[in-house]
Amino acid sequence: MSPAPPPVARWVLSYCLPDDIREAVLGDLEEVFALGGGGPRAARRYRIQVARSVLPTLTTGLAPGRLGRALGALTLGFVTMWVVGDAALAGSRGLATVVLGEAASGEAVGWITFLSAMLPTCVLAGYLTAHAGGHAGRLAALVLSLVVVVPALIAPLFGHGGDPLWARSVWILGGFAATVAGSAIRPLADGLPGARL
Amino acid sequence: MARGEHLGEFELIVLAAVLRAGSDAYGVVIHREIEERTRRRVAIGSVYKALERLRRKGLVERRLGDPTPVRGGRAKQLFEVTRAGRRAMRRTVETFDRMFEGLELGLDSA
Repeated sequence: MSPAPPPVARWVLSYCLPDDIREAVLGDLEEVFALGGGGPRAARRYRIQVARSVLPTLTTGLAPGRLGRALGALTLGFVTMWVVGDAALAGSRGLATVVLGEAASGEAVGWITFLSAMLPTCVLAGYLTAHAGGHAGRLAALVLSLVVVVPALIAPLFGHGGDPLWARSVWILGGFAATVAGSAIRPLADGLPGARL
Repeated sequence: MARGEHLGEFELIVLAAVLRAGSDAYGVVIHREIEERTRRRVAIGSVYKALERLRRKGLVERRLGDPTPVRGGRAKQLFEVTRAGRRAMRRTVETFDRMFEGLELGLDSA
């Protein structure tokens, strides 16, 4: 079996590429990797190409005429986070009270709301943003996923940093990863915006 | 000159690389042509970004080639410079020529 390109680098590039050039670019880099012998040196070259291509490929679909759609998708993502997130938080707090009882610790309730409200909301917001944003949807979703982590990052500056560092890190990384994962989901139906990029 | 026929330096380089690659102008070949002739490192993503911009301006056309095993079964995207693309190249080069006509850069002995 011939060696395969570095999987993480390949996934990152695949995520950043618009649909219409994804196969071609991945194929080109795979060809260069194979012709380079497929060893550690070829893998290093592959990673360098990916690192240098991330920004250009993310912004490939960002033509002036498409900027409005990307901004609209970003707004949709924010609204989803806000409205759906609030409703989900209220629901999951109620669920936590039912499951754990009134005497449940704040930490336990916090983890239940994280798992049952925050993560699904991030996945949904990422998905909607990526597919409503057309060619630049992934870029909009990436911006959204970075913004998701900002409140957790700056909370200590405003005296809300009571959670231990490890717990805050899980919230930050979890929110970021869930939003990115949501935006990487393929369209669930052909009729959805962005189903044919 | 109509809007869309103004070429940046990198766009001109990419168009020239597509022309040089002839009937086999796909990402790997175009990228290699650019790196070898300009002697600078270029990200393949930047090449595709420029090609996409040129395609939207109608200066290149693309079509799908056959998938090959060495590419993991993925098809090539083959590019061709359109007539409008050749015209834009000629105008840009003529503009450069006019700008540099009679200009002494003073670097001959360097």
